[in-house]
Amino acid sequence: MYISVGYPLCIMSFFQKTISDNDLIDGILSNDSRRRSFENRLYEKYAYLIREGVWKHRLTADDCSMAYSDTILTIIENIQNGRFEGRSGLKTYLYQIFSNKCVDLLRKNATNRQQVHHGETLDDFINILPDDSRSIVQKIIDQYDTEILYQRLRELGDKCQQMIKAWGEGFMDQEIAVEMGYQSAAVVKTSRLRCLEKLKELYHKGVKKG
Amino acid sequence: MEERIEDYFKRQLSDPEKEQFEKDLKTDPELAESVAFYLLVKNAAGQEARDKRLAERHEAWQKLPNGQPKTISRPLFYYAAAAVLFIAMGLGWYFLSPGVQNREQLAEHYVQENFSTLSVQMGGNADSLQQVINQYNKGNYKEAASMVDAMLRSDPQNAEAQKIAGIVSLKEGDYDKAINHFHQLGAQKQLFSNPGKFYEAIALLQRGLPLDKKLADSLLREVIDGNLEGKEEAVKWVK
Repeated sequence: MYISVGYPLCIMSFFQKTISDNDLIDGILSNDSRRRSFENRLYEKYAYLIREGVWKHRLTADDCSMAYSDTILTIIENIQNGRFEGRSGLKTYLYQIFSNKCVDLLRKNATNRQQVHHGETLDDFINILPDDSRSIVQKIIDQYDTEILYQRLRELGDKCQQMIKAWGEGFMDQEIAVEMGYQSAAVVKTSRLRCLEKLKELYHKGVKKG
Repeated sequence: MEERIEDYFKRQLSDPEKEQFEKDLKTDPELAESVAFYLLVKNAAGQEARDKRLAERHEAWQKLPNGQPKTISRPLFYYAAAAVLFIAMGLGWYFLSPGVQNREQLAEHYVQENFSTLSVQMGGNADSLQQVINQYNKGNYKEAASMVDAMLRSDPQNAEAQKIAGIVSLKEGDYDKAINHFHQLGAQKQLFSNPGKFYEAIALLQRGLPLDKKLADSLLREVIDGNLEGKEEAVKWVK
């Protein structure tokens, strides 16, 4: 039973207009200062799912709350990069992602091991490869320990770290050049590939030692 | 790290270079290793930045007044339920009572008025199109669909067939297929009169996914601005 005598209800929020999914999507796609407010409204609109997650997946409220935040951030990113096409309702889409994140969390808790994150970006890139090479590359990726990789990344010099992180976030070499004071995008590209080579050496050296 | 790995994923290699890369990938374990490492680091670096962003947003969301699920007291729940019922009845009366029609209703009305039967002159003298129209008018939509699909396989640029295929799909409720046919029709530039964009807007309005209304709206404006077939209705609909 969900109804119980608990927190006092804020009358203002009770009468707050429920925003439609279309309005939310439009707001999240807008480029002005209102965007953040629409993102917050999306978070609030389906926040009741946290309680459902606790009950259904037997996760702690904190874990579920984090899985829900992760879901909302994913939805915002997918709306903004056009990955959400509106083929299903926003709630159905959100519920599916939230359930998957809860199940991932359960698995992570069960194995107590950080798994290689197969985010959509990684899958997108792997799918560019021809079928016969895809499985080979995937197998190699699965053999890597991401915890060690993160550790080695932090051992790299500041410039290399900053450059690789910016690249991972999706910044263009031109933007990195401006931000970090490099002469051109080409210089950034060469330096970045050199940093990757260095990181690879560092990783394998550490793993062999270990 | 080989530059061509990055160029490959950015799709900047020429066809022969791409072919060579894929060939080398099969035979060169070192290249495969480098590709795997390149992709893994890109993902891991992006993930670390995202984790940071998530932590920041999570913290901010926890401070929102409605950020946490709340429990509500029982009497208030009943008051709220009664109020919701009352409002729902009011809204139901408002929307279901005859009055000003919205775009979806107008689209539905247009389909009923114009697509119930197709004129036998529609396909000119093409016998096979006449047969499709005959099947359509008899209500044999499946038969009509398979006949017109076969026609389009041999002549994909046949505008009349494309139009009828879209209408048949619309009647069958296969909106994705209808949108696809009308979109292809609308893209044909050489036609004297082209209803493709207008019909695509109708199909989108009938499908009714969250972004469809917006897409239909922009198509209707294109119809008006380009003085395309369906302009008269489009003007009334976007008012």
